[in-house]
Amino acid sequence: MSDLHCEDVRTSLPELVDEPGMSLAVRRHLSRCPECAGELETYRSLRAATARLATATAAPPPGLVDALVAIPAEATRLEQVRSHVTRHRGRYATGLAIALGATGAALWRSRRRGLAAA
Amino acid sequence: MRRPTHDRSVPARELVPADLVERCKRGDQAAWKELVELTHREVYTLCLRILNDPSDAAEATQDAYLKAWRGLAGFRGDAQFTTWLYRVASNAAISKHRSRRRRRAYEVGAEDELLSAMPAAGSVEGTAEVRRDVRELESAISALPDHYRSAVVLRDVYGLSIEEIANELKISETAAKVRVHRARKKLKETLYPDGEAR
Repeated sequence: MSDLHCEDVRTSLPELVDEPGMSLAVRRHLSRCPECAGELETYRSLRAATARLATATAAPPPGLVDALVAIPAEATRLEQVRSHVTRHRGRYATGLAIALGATGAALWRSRRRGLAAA
Repeated sequence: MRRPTHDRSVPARELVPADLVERCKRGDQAAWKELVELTHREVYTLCLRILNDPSDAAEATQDAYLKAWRGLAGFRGDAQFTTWLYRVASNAAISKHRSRRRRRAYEVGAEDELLSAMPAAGSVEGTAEVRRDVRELESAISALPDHYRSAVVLRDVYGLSIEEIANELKISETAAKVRVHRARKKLKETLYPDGEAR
């Protein structure tokens, strides 16, 4: 089996951090090449340091916590409004039709008055 | 950047006790308040890391908690609650990211907000050094192109699988793998420009 070159191994190093098993050829190269082995070690260290960022947090802007805490109450209120509208859909539709009709009639009357004046 | 002293990845911490989740599921608003207080910093930080903008991150955090409240009934406890919440949050952050065409520049103040709450046993000097490392790493991550940053944050900070990242970002698994790969390469080049750190 021919040995891999450094260039072949180095392109795959960022992925090898995730892979529990690596090919025999890669392992053999790493055992003989301290530079590639060192680079893999650097990637592993970087990966570990990045994972530890999960415990480093930023301070949220003022008011955010209050807004988050209020979500259940807000969601409940919205649900109540939605459910009320759904239950009384017929009445809302009739009301809307009456309002539209009244607006249309008012517009028609005003237009007629304008035409008569002209 | 100083080379980390050990390579062990930190597993996701469970911040929320199971009984608290159950109380929230029953609609207990006091329990919800407790849950928010326990988790909001982590969720906000995740959104900030993906969006690179404090105001967008705050909006995404609100979207995430609204989705979490509505989806609580569907949480069966197969995974850790925190992991589930992180997924909801990353989904909200990515949706927000997609919906914003014009991105605002990352403010320097936002980077300063990322404070190091990392466990750093030892001397004051040791703590300061760890804080500096965190700052350098956060800064390098925030300088990554958006598509690389989302992928590497989800994979390496929050431990999502390539498959999960592909689903969240709506890309193929190969594309997700490539983004993580390139992001790691760029981070290494930024933090260790002279090659291997010793």
